[in-house]
Order: sequence, then C-alpha cells, then structure tokens
Amino acid sequence: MIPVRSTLLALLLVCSLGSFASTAKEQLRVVTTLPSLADIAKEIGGERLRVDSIARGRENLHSMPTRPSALVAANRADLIVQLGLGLEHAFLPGLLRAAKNEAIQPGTDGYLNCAVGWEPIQIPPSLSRRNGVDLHPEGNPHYHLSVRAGEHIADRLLEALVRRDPGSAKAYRAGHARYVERVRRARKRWAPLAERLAGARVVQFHLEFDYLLRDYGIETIATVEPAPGVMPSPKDLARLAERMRELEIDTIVTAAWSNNRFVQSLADLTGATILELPHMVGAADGTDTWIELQDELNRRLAKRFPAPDEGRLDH
Amino acid sequence: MLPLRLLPFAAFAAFPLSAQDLGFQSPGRSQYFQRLPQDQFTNQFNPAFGAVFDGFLDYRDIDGGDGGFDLQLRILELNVSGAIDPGAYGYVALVSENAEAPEIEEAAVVLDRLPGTAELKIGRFFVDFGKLMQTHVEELRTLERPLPLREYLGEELGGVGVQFDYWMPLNETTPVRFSVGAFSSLLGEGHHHEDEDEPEPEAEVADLKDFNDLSFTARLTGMTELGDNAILQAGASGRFVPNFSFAFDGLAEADLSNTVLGLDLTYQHTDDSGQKRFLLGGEYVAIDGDLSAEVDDPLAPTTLTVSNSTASGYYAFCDYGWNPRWSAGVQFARAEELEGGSDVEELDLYVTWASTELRRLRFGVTLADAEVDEQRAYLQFTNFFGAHFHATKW
Repeated sequence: MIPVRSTLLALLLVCSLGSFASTAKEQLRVVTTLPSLADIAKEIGGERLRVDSIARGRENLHSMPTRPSALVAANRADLIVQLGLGLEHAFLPGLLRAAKNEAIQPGTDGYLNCAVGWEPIQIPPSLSRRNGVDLHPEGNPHYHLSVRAGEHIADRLLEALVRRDPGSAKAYRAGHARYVERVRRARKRWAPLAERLAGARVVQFHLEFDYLLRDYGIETIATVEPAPGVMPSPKDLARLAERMRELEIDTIVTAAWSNNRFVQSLADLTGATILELPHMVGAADGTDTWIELQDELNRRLAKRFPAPDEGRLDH
Repeated sequence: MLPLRLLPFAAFAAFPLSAQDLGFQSPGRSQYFQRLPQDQFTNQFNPAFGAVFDGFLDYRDIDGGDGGFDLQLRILELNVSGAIDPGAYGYVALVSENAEAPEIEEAAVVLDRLPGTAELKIGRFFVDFGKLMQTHVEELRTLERPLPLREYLGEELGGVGVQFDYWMPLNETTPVRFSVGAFSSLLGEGHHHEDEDEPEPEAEVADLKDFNDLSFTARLTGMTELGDNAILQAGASGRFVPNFSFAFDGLAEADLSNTVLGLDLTYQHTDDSGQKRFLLGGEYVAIDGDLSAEVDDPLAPTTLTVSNSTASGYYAFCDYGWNPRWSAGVQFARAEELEGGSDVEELDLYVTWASTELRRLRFGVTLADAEVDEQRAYLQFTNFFGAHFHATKW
C-alpha cells in the first residue's frame, strides 16, 4: 500500500523548493500581447525594459496558442500591455487569471489597454451569435495596422511606463519623443501612396486590414467570411465571386494565416489576385519593427496598385 | 371605494408583501444577506450562464448479442459562473444525463487571491488527475473517457472537498504546478459495470470519519517549450481512498483502501500560425489495494470476499488538426479489468469538424476487444450556448 501522507509531504517539499528561485529584478518587465506593441515599448524604454511578446508575429490572433513562457512572463511582469477592443479576449483573461500576478490585473497601474483614446470603427449595432463568431463588441480591434497607430500606442505606453516607473520618466519621455519623431517622418514617406490609392476597392478574407486600407483610401466591398469567424460555403463563394465580377474587383486581401483554400477558390473563380499582407510585426521578413511593418505594407500596396505609368503586377 | 381615512391602514396592510418583493430589510435576519444588492445594476454584475447540448447517433455491434442503432441526448449541461467578490469566483455545472433528472456535477468556489500563486477550491468538483479527469465527458477528444480511467476512476470522478493549488516557474519557459485535495469520498464508478445485471457489493465511505480517512488527491505537473513551436507536459497524479467498506445485504468488509496512480505525457506541436496542431500523448494508470468484492450467492449471501490486488492500464493517442475546424485522431487503450483481471483493449478512430468553436460534429469508430467484443460507430454532435467555465487547471 502506498503511504498517503508521506507521499503528499514529499510532493509539497519538492514543489516548494522552486519557490525560492531567485527573481532578481533590474529592468522593468513588460509583457505585450503583440510584437508590434513590444517593438514600440522597446523604442521608448530601451535598456530599461525587458520586453516579452506573447504572440511572435505569424499567429492567427483569434485562436492563438499560449506557451508556458507566456505564463511565466505574465507571472513576473511589472506591466502587461494589450491592444484592446477585445482582440485578445480568447487568451488574455485566462492568462491573467492563471498568472496570479496582482500587479498586472485590470484596473492596476500594471495593466495597459492601448485602445483607450482610440476611435474604433465597425462597432456592431447589435450583438448576437447569429451575426458571427469572432465578434468584437467594442469595434474592429486591428487598429495597430493603421498608419496612425504608432504614435497613439507610443502615447499610451509612455503614460503607463511613467506611472509604473516614475524614476525613469525623463528617459521614457526622451525615448518617446525620438520615436514619435521617427514615426512622423515615416508617415510623410507613406502619405503620397494614399493619394494614388484613393478609390481602389478590394475584398478581404476577414475585417483585419480595415484601418490600414481606410488610411490609404481603399474601400473593402466584402469579406470572404460571410460573418466574422464563419467559413464560407461554396454558395457563399459563388455569390461573392459574382459580386466581384459585377464590381470589377480583382484583389483579395488576406494575411498569411488566412491565405487558405477559400481565398484560393475565390481567386480561381474570379481571376483576382491574392494580396497577402503582414498582419503584425514579425509576420514577414523585414518587419521586425512597427515602422518596418508599415514600410512593407506600403510597399506591397504600392506594388499591387502601381501608378499608371508603372504597369501592374498581377502576381 | 375606501373612505379616505382608511387608506393609510390599507397601505400598511399591503406593505409586507410589497416589502418582501423589494427586499425590505427588517431586524433579526442575517446582516450579511440584508446587505446584498437589492437591484440588478447592469447585466455585467450577473453571473454568466451557458449550456451544453451533447448527443450522438450510434450503431453498436456486440458479439453474440444484439446490435443496432441508438440516438441519445447524452448530456444537457447548464453552467453558471462569475466573480463573487475580488477574492473569489464560483461556478456550477448542473447536468442531466440521458434526459434524466439533473444532478450537480460541480459547484465550487475558488479563492484565487491567496499569497503567491496559491488557490483554494471548495465545493463539489472533478478531481485533478491527469489531463482528462477534470474534463467533462462532452469535451473529450473521444466519445468516452479512455478505458483505464473509466475502469479505475470512473466515467467521471467528482467529490465534495477542498483542493489547494500552487504553481511556480522553474525557469523562463517551465512552470510547475502541484495540487493536493481532500474529499469526503472519492469512490468512483469504476468498480461497477453497468451492463451487469447481477447485484454487486457496494463500496461505501463512512459519513463521519477521521481526517486520515478522507480521500485524497495529489498532482504534480510541469510543462516546457521545446523550440519555438512545441510544448511538452509531464505529470504524475494520485488518488487515495484510505478507508472504505464493501457492503451487501447485511454483510460488510471494512478498513479497506485503494490507491490509483497515473503518469501522463503530452506533446504538442503547432505551426507558426497556430492553425495546425499535432498532439501526441498518453497516460499510464495503476490501481492497488482492495479493488472489488463478491458474494457467494447474491440471492442468499453468506460470505463477502474482497479482492486485494493490483491492476494497470494505459492509453496513447495522436491527434492532428490541419486547421482550426478539422482534426482527426487515433487512440489505443488497454486495461486489466478489476474483476477477473483479463485485459481489455479499445481502439478509437475519429474525425472532428467544428463549424465554429461553439458547434462540433464528430464521426468515430470504437473497436473494443474484451470478454465480449464490440464495434461501435457514432456521430456525435455537441453545441455550446454562451459561456462555458469549469475552472480546470493546466
């Protein structure tokens, strides 16, 4: 017979040894949900911060697997940063509950929702599962892809970092000023394309790039998903193909995670070109920072919708 | 028409009824309940409600017996969950099986703001044993719980008790968790076989007992990352029933005990997008102690004999999800029967389609190699309405 009490005591002893592991802190530990947020935090805080991102750049954020390292990082974090508007609803509340870190719970100085102050688009007029699965009651959450988002997120991060670590406020303000200046210079670089693309029309797989496309004056006519998070039936695809032909829409915008057989079927039905765009920092080569991500988005849009004298590349 | 001067008296006479509806407070009742909120604020203060509807159409072919189709509404589950105050949350799972009277499978309060990562769960809840015993049957990869768990712990194993839970990071990528639980009773349903018509001795735990005679559980598990895309989790679990008895028609054998131990290993690999997922895992389960009892003559018993022995079994599975909607898998299980000691094997093959994360359809085949062989094909349909929460641990 196995001795019950001694087994339990041995278990407790073995486990409690780990409690004495050193957790020496020199840098402020920041955990972000997206690598885009991590990049901007690093730009502001530099060496003062140790920044970990839960997502690595290529995931579908609606069904993101969380790794053991995310649990450990959240447990040790001084500040957790989310994009907000419900984007992280599938994994962040559970992670915060499991991480057991009082310092980063909602309502504390260690919890930052970057969506505060952002004006969301596409707030559903009514909420019902009839309207879809990946519904976002607060509006479209993919605003980090807007060319305007860099400065907004930097502002929110500065406020949070100063609150959390007032002793380094001067350094954070300097880092923020330098970064915002770089973003403003980059926006001047991106702006001319918007004049050229105004009025272009596309179909998207999911309502993911709306902020970006609107910044460039591109209109989304429809989505491949008949409702958010719902896969299309052959009938849905046929109906959409018919509409695309009627409206002469020849571009389907998708992220790498959603560049699937439905997108390919629609392209086959219509002859449209699939335009795959990186959906966050790290989603494609050469997108290691938020500014590089926007440069790449700008480059791919420009290539797909070239100036009349440049000739259009279909693939 | 009442005379005007009688109106105050009429209002006073009507007052007790309306006061009760409005939550009127009077001296002598519990001060705590008097302080509860009397209006509904917004809906966000209310607990979340959800339901699960799980059923199947199956065809069974039993060697030497009847075969045929069946259609069952297996599970209808009602969930309620929500925060109680800043230091605790609670949840309830009320389950009706096969459209029979509902039972409370879980009703627990979790104190989650204890020092460090500690948590204390109090109430009735499923045991923390392996990766699957916390899970309700409709959420499993297969139609039924794996064979050795069913045989040694029961189709589901819950009890009224208290469980302490704690986790800690060993390094940046490796958290380790342990739990210990004490329960009034944790005698599962594994000692009985529902198909057997003959009455059997019942296992019982005394209502009042010493602390040492409570039933206990313990689990130690850790997970770590293998590269950028893989996670490995290993765990060890125990369930200890230190004092119970077998009774049958006036006969009883007391001071019995048994222990179940399990070792589990799960490997998961996902692609960069998180869309494709490969799972490989298994669990070894062993039971030791007083496992079963029989009487010489069920109609006129004179002796009750308890069998003290050891039995073991295991299951292993692999499951591949090639996108978030589709997955397929295979599971093989083997276990020594508690009564008779012969080996039983089960092979499960299945394909699952989740049209959304709230609606699932599964086609599967189960081939059982036992004293009486059985083949079963089924189409399982599971629907989740609204919130679904069970406070399961990793």
